[in-house]
Amino acid sequence: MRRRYLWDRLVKYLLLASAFSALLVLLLIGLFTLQEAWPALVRVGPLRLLTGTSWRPGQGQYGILPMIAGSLWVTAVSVVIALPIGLGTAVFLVEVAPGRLAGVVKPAVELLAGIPSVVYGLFGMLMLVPLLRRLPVPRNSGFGILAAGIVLAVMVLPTLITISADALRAVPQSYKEGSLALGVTHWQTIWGVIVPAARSGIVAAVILAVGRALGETMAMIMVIGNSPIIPVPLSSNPLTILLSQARTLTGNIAVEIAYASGLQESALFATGVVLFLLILLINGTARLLLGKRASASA
Amino acid sequence: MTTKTLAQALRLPLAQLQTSPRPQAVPLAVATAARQSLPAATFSAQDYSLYYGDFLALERISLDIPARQITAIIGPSGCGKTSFLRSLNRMNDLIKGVRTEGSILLDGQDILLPGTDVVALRRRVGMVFQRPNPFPMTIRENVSYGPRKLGEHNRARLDEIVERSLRQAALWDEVKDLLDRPAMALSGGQQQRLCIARALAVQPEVLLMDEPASALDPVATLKIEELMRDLAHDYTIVVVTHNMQQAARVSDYTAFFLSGDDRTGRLVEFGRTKEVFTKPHDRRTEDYITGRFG
Amino acid sequence: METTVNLPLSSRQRLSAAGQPMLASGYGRRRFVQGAGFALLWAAAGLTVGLLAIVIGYIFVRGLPGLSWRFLVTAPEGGLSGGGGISTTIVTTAYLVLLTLAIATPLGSGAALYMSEYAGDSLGLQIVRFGIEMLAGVPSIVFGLFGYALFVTRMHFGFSLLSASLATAALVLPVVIRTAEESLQAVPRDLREASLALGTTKWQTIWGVVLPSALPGMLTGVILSAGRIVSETAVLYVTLGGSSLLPRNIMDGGRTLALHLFYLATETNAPVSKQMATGVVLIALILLINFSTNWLGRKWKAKTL
Repeated sequence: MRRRYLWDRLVKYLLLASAFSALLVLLLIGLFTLQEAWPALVRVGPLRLLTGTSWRPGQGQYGILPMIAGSLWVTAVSVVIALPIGLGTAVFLVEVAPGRLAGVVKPAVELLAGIPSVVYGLFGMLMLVPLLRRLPVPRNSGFGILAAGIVLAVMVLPTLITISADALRAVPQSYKEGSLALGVTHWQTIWGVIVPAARSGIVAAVILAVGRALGETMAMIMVIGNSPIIPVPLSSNPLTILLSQARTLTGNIAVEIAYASGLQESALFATGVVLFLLILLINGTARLLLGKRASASA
Repeated sequence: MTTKTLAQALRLPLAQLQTSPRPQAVPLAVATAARQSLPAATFSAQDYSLYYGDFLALERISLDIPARQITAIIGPSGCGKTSFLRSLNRMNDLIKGVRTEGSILLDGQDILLPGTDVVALRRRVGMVFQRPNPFPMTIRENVSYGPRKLGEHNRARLDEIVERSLRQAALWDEVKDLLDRPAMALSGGQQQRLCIARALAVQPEVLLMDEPASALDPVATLKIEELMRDLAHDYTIVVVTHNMQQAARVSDYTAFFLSGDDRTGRLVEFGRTKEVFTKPHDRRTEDYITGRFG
Repeated sequence: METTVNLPLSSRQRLSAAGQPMLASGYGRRRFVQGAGFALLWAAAGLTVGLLAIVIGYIFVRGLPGLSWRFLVTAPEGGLSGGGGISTTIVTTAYLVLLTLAIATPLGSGAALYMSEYAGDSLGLQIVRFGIEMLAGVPSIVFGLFGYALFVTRMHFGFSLLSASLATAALVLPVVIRTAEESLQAVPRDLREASLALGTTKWQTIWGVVLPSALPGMLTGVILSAGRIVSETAVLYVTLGGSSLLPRNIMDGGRTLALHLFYLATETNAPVSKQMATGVVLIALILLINFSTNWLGRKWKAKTL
């Protein structure tokens, strides 16, 4: 009899250990990346790392500002493209789509989410970049922010759609009925009551999309050109900044880790630390927003 | 049964009930004729039936709702009262698989026809729901929501409309300094009056009320009933209630719905409230009113 | 959508019921705006579906011609030419998936079991949950760096299946935990209570009643993770190395299908058709995994309803 309960206790502690494994992994990741990044953080210093505009390891320059700029540009472009399409699709799914069509769009969104990033990168490289290269702008190689932004937009679209749709579905039906009963059209009701009520969920969706965008690596390095420069317009037209090549924080790591050593390697780890902290911050914010909404509508 | 015992059963003061003797069961022709002597109807349901998919929820309802009166729809739960009410502003359209037969005429026009402008209909026929459902906005934004969506953007005119609607809903004095506070901060009774104000702001002719006080405490309930009587001077009011006393207190006309074992709702009796409650024509009405079932 | 066939019900009166001047109603304009607006929504949804069609269509159209049985069973030639097939990559992918799941599944299921069956809503549990959420958001390249720093370098495993699977296991851990926990929570309370009322211990209840019921759902999570592993590249780039040879044991490196595609596209002169063909196989694999997840998920739902 006692053996049964002993076994039970043992199992319980084993499982407890498993539960903490995720937390442990998180800590380990933080610790080890920090450790490897330490030499760079000490010798170069966080300030010079974060604000230095020149990344030239050969000459001892380790400024990652160009990569921060690159990541931000690409993320911004992708969100600007994906938000209207994603929100529109979400509203369509929840408010407009006849039943059968929802059964087509929803799996399509899931599939989009499942396609590996290399495939998106390949597609971008072989179809999008040549297309953009045709634009008559000097020094336009096709590779650059726009190409990466478009590819990234397609990649974050599923996240935006799914989470926004969840937020829209969570809006109480009574709001919709109350609005329609006043003689307000469905369209007006969507934008006057439903979407505003789902606001925090939609913002959380955007934030999560941003997190996803910042974390993407392989697709980026295949289409963005990977020049570690701060993006500038290629001609007098300011819009051509979108055709400038760039490098993302993630790309920085992937492109150079293969042959980096010493301080350079350490600086790459430092880039990893910056990424890690950034994403943690972003996801934490989204979690807060989503959590608040969940308890508010309860 | 004597009028006295009826009064006791309904818990109403004796004086509120007529004391003339009860007639025999009235043949259908006479009942129809009696119905036709009522004042001109705003709404007229003619052999109206409602299906949810294959389920027949309402069978051949024929009912004329008089203008500028309060018509109460009573009956046990599940007998189709709310379904009928929601048919009057076609809110049932929101449910999938809904099908109708017959017609419902608003000033002579059948609102069930496919080409009907439902948006326009719902402006003319407003609705107040069972649970107060103010939008997650300020009080001012709630009341001005309808007019804004109709196209009114002039700040001064909107403020005017907000004040007028809140006065009509007997809420102005309580909230006039709180207009920019969230509507959710109001009490249940206040929220319901806010919803009434919101509905009035788009200038309807008819106000449909689905058990407007059932989620409220007795004090708030009385306020709503008072409000209904005031509003009846200008608007046609149709109120669904499971509270018979409320119906007897507040309404001018009463319709009694009942569903059988097939759960299909039918109109059993309709007439002036005083008559329905003191001299009901149908035995089933009497049974319900005296509390023998339901 | 309604068309106004008969007369609209707009009131012709100039005064409202209560005697005020009537507000304008703007039905025509609002109806037009709604029509245009809904058209935009249809366009957005169409674009989403269209994008999927374009991406998959493009890859398939240009890749299917290059696909052949030979392609599947020949090993890649390695080097700059990008010739050969993809046989070793498929096998390596299978190895990696199995190894990673062997690590992540027990760990993740155990964690989910604990969180679902044993823990209350204590602070410790909330911290654990927080940790899982955060872990889910970490970019894959950071997992790669972690694997590189700890397994490849510090523990001297080098570029190997071992390093890669450990790093990838960390990556998919949150997914396994989340889906496992959902499946466990979906098991109705009464089942547990019935078993406990018979005098069995907690573990016996779990093993005998809860787990069997939650198993299909947990399996779905595992398959989902497999899909994730197959798609992964960034982590493997820095932990698995780039050898196109077949790994002989877990200390050997290699290339998965996705990784191979990356190398083909960026470091070789492989003809486009070959790259696309690789892409086709990859997508097909993912589709297969997706469908089985859905199918299993549906079976599980039907079972619990």
